[in-house]
Amino acid sequence: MSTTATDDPGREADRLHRRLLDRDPLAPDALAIAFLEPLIRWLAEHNPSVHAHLVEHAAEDAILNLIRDPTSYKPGRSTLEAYLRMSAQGDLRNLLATEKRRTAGKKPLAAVELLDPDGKHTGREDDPALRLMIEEERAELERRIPASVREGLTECETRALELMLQGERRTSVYAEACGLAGLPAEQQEREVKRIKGRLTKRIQRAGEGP
Amino acid sequence: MSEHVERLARRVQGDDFFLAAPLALYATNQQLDDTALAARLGCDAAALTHLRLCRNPDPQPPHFWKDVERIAEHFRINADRLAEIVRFGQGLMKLRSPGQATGFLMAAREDEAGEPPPAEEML
Repeated sequence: MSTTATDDPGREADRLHRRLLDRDPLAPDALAIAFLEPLIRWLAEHNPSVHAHLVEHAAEDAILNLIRDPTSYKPGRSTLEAYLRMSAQGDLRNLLATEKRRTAGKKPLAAVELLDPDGKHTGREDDPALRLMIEEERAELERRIPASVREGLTECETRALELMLQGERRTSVYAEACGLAGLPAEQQEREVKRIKGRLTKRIQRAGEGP
Repeated sequence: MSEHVERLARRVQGDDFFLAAPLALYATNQQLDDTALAARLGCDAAALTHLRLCRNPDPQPPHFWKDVERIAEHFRINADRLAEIVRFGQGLMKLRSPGQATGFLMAAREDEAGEPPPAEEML
């Protein structure tokens, strides 16, 4: 498996590994360019009966795992190429096992649907557990909003932010929440857009914090 | 361009480790397809694929600028523009929660009239 145009692919691979350890932002792309294609080819050759999609997925997993945790490779024990092959082969085995379990546990859709005594389906909308999950997710999201976004917001902006977090898109709802409902439609739109603009800027600033 | 590398770049769009994540959030928020996103970044579609596979810049200064400048220099794109886009995407990442991201982003990017989002004016 060649890495780049160099006389010593092993040394080049070691340099690439070092760049991953050093958190070089370009290193993940360089690793994928150098190793993904050859790894897929090798894995396919050694697992000819396995579907190409699974082979590709396993090779991708091996590359991604190394990118996320470059310390998992110990240069003294093997070459990077050998390590990736071993890792991809293991990932492929796991994928095959998962696929086997999924296929074995697959039940007809009718068996999964819940029926109430009247014979009506209990769909997503009616599921109390789902509603609870949505509420919990929302509470979690609100907890995570950084102070840089929340602090200094007017009452209207706070309500508008909450509406944005709920996925609300109707101008009329924002206008109602901000006491703008009495204004002409055009002015409502202008005001709501301005409020959303301020909130959007705060979101961008939130990206600057820890 | 390797189709496998391109597929990998798409796969990591939801992975905060990669630059693909803030770029995807920015593009969704701004309603940009790949061509428009590449144009905004000042690169072509092939470069966009490789940009996605870069590590997401460390948000902490001075690492952020160091990372952005290294990426921008390599891909020959404008560092200020890249920084603005990544900052916005990283801001959205912080407010994102599984299952709510889509709704939030849609709310942020449009009103009933379907007008472009305010963030557009900043970039």
